[in-house]
Amino acid sequence: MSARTGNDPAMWSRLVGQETAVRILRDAVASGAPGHAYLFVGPQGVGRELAAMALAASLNCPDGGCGECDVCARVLRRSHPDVYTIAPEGAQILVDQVRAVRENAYLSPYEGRVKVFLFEDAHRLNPAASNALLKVLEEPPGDVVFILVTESPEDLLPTVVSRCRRVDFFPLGPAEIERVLVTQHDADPALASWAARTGGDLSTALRFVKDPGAPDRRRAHLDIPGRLVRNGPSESVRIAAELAGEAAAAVSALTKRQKDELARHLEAFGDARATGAARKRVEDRHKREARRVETEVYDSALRDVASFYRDVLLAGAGVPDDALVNTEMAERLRRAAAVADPAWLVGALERIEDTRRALARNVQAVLALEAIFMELGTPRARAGAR
Amino acid sequence: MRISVERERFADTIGWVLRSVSSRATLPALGGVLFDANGPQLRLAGTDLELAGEATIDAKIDEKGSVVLPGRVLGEIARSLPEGAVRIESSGGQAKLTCGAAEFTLRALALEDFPNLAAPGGAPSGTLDASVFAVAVGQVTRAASHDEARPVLTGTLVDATGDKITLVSTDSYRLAVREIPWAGPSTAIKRVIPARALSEAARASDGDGKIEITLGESQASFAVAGRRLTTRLIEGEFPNWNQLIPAELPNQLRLERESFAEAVRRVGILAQSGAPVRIDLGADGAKLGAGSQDLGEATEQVDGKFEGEPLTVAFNPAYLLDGINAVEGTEVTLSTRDGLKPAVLRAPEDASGFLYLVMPVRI
Repeated sequence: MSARTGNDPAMWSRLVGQETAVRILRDAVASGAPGHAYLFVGPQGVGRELAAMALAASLNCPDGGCGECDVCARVLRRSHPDVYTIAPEGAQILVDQVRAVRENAYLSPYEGRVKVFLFEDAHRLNPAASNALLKVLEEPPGDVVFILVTESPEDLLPTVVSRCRRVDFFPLGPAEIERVLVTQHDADPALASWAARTGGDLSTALRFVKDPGAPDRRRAHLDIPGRLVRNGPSESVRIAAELAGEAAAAVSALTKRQKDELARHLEAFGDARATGAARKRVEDRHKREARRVETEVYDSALRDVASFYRDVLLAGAGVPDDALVNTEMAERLRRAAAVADPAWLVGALERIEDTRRALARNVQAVLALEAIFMELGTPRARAGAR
Repeated sequence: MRISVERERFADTIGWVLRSVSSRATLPALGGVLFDANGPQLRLAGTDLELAGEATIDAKIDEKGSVVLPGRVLGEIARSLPEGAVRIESSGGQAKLTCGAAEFTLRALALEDFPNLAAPGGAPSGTLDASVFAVAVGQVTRAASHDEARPVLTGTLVDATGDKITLVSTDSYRLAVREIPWAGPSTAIKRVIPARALSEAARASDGDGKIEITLGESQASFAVAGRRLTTRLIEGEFPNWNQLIPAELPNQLRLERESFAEAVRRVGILAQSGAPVRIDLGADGAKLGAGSQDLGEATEQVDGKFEGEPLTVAFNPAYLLDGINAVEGTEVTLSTRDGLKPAVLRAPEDASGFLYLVMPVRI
């Protein structure tokens, strides 16, 4: 082992703000008996999967997870043959996927020392799949580590949960997100600071700094409360239509990339009947991605609008400018606060939250958006943002 | 990379390597064939992450390099090439393949995502005649299980000692064992190898030459005639098969193998939906029977030499037939103790070192 990687393997240092989780996992690796199954519990975008990859790398990299060698690089790219990712096909993880895992679990590693099976959204294991997994967890081969990643452990079979070591991951604060963006993703510090405060979680913030159009779109979103005041509730239809356009553009950019990926896939595997199932898996994943991208556009618009109202509320309560999310428009926020009704603002924030939750399920997005903006723009409500 | 290879050899080799290439994986590089022209010969390789096939062939290497090309298309191209040398030139994410007047441009797959082909460490465990190995694999793997609930039974136990190598498969209804004398390792090695990998290894050679077997800690490999098949091992304890073979088999019937097989096949037609074929063993040979009230009856007499007490045993006809077909030579003996204990099929005088044990069906 080199001096540098001996005490501080680089794979672990990528994880920010999860000191407890990192300590538990590193101790487990150091003990030489890492345990067969883990439950990584925490919200999206806080590093659960990065931690899983760090664990996989430290168990297989000759230097315990140096972060630089070919093994670590392939683990991070998800192309290491002994590190498997199992994601829901459609809405669920199916029993056939678990059967394939089981077959693999009882084979010796392909080239590494330990086989790692990462289950994304493990709460989506359907009952048959959970039971199949339970059988392997009851009699695990010696050189296997299962990592079940979830945000809702209560939705997993209790018998599965009881066979896993639970590791908790906590939401990152804006300062931690900013640090990750600047140190690990070379983000411009001003952009990083803005993205960290507005993104809410690391993966959203990261998307903000990587997407050059994001600041402009955000400015447009922050203009929504003002437009509702100036033009009244009828503006809500135009706003919803604009957001639908924004979502369509995002999806079509994605579709282009997906078409390319599918073409590459068919080129490699052929389009024959035997490969139909694999093709369907790719297509299902693409549909999920498209849906996620579309929802994310609406969600980010609603988050931005909510951040405006929240700032108005805070400004009205007399907090200093630098405690606001949208510091760059502090003056406008204070003017709005001078005439706003705090009770209305709290109600508006709750309604926006409701709409975000509804959108995460399967409601008609444009109708839901029209409704919320209509409500935020009705005359008795306008006082909130004047 | 810039190389040229002889067409027929190239097509043959691509065809063999493609047998190890996955048609189902989701990582595109796994659907590819690796061309590695950094050594004195061209190395072609493919893997489905359970096993890997590698072959080296003579090539004129004008410029070293490596590239991964899409397997399926490559296979079709290789089969349909016109006369002439095959030239392959790769640069900047694509490769140009020309042969005669035909020219193909293929997009390369991600070389960095192509898995390393781990090889078992240590010296080779021993060598066998490729033809002997191929026969043995065919005899034994037929008894392996297809039920993934007991993974270790889907494999073949390879038990290598200094003077012999033993292959064993069982699905718990039957058991096939083949011993072959060889000059093996000084310390005994036992590994369980996926039955499919052994079958692929057996196909690597056209029967000529020696196959070099290496049984490593996590992989096993089989090398013959410039080709090497490497496979992952099945983990877990293989059942102690020795204790399953009955010590005493007082009743012995010797039959002409081909007639016995044909009779089982014919009578077995009426042994439907899991019904057995009954065999009455007696002084003049075997009387086979099968059938049901709904369907009807079939019987056939097969003449043979019998020693012991007359008795009736019944078998699953498919399992029985697998055993009869696996025995080498013109004659086969069916040895048994009673209608409930396992019966054994083997060549008379046990010259070939092969034994097939089959559980009777209770009637």
